[in-house]
Amino acid sequence: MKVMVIEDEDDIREIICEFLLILDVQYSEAANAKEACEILRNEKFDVIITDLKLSDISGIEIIKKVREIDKNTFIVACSGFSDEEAKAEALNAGAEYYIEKPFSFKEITVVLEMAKKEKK
Amino acid sequence: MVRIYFSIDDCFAVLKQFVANFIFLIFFILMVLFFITQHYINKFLSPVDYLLGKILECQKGAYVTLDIIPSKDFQPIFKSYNNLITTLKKREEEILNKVIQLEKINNSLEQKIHEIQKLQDLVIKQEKLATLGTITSGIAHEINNPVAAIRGLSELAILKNDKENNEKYFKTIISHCDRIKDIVKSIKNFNRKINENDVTEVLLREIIDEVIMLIRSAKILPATVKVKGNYNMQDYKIFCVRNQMFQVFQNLFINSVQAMDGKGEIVIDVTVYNNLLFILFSDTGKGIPPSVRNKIFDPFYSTKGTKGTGLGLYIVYNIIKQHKGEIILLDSEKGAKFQITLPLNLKKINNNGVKNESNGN
Repeated sequence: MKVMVIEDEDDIREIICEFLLILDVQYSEAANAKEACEILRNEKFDVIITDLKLSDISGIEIIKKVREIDKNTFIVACSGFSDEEAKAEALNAGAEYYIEKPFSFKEITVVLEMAKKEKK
Repeated sequence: MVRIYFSIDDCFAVLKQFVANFIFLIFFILMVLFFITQHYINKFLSPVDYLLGKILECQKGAYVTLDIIPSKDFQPIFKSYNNLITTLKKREEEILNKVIQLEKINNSLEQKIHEIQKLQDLVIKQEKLATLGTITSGIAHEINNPVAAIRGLSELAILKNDKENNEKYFKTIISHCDRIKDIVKSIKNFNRKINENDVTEVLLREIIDEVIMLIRSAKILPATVKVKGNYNMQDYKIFCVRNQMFQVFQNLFINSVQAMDGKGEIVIDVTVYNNLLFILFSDTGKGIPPSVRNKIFDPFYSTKGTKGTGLGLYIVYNIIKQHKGEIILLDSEKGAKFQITLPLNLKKINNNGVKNESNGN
């Protein structure tokens, strides 16, 4: 399983990646949309975990772009906005799941399990 | 032949008798004439007097019709007079009705104005709450980020449980706690009563700096948008309703940021001329198209579609007006450029806003 983490907050991105490392999951990381797009051009991922408020373009745009090229990637939106509006926007753009910050590792594990099941 | 002899004395006597009779006759005729004229004079003058009396009464405002209809000669005049009085009475009644009607309209207009004033206050409050919503949502997001980091780091510390890593995690946790502390500090200034309407003397730069701090914390104003200008170089003091002036700059900043694609400049320059404070607020955003320039201060006009309430600049305009100032949009090559003029000697306030009290003369 390959996971892509898009998050502009360095500490949060590193925390997720460190946890993925503990889970022994292969991952790539990007701090902004530009970096993410470059990586996504060459590689395919099973799961993409993306923040919604990035420094350059919004995570919503990334979700839409990924959905255009790849219908099978399991997209997880992750944001500090706790309102239903943000959640609905992300799901409408094509995300499978919405994680609210602060999240627990258990949520990430659950999400990865869900992605695995859907693959099968 | 009969001779009649008259003595001279007899002749005189006859003459005297004749003269006496004549004088009596003349006197009698004069008396008769006098009574006749008196009668006619009375006959003509008394109605005229009567009429005159009524006219005088009429002048004083008592419209009384003539009830005695005397001689035929006066009947047409009396009738005309009575008609005139009836018409006047009618006119007066009409005027009175109109006055009552106008008073009613005036009262309802005053009530409407009062209602409009109340609605306007409500609109200002609602818009403030809407902005408050945007800001709290931004701040919640900004607090959730360090909290997410603290939570994640704590879980990592529990999972790994080795001394070397723990120290690194805890140090990062502390830095995130400090970040939350800074965000909370910026909200403190925003936490003023919405209904607070007292005029106080405040430093202009202080208000602007507090707005910047708040919207930076809420990530509404990103680090890539620089704020420049001489606004913080001098201690310009203004008399104002503090939270209203805060709202003015908050709305202007939010508009400017939304007109930019994540980066640019906002410049605030301040000068004083003739006891007036001139604040030039400009940005490097996409500017305001000429076709909508005269609509931007209208209520419910928005260039942001469903994302804007269309009340931001309307409220800015009204607050500045209440502070006896004015705001205009200046021509600008790039972005939007506003000029706010505020008097430096505002002191008093009532419920309708701020009153200008000159202390210069």
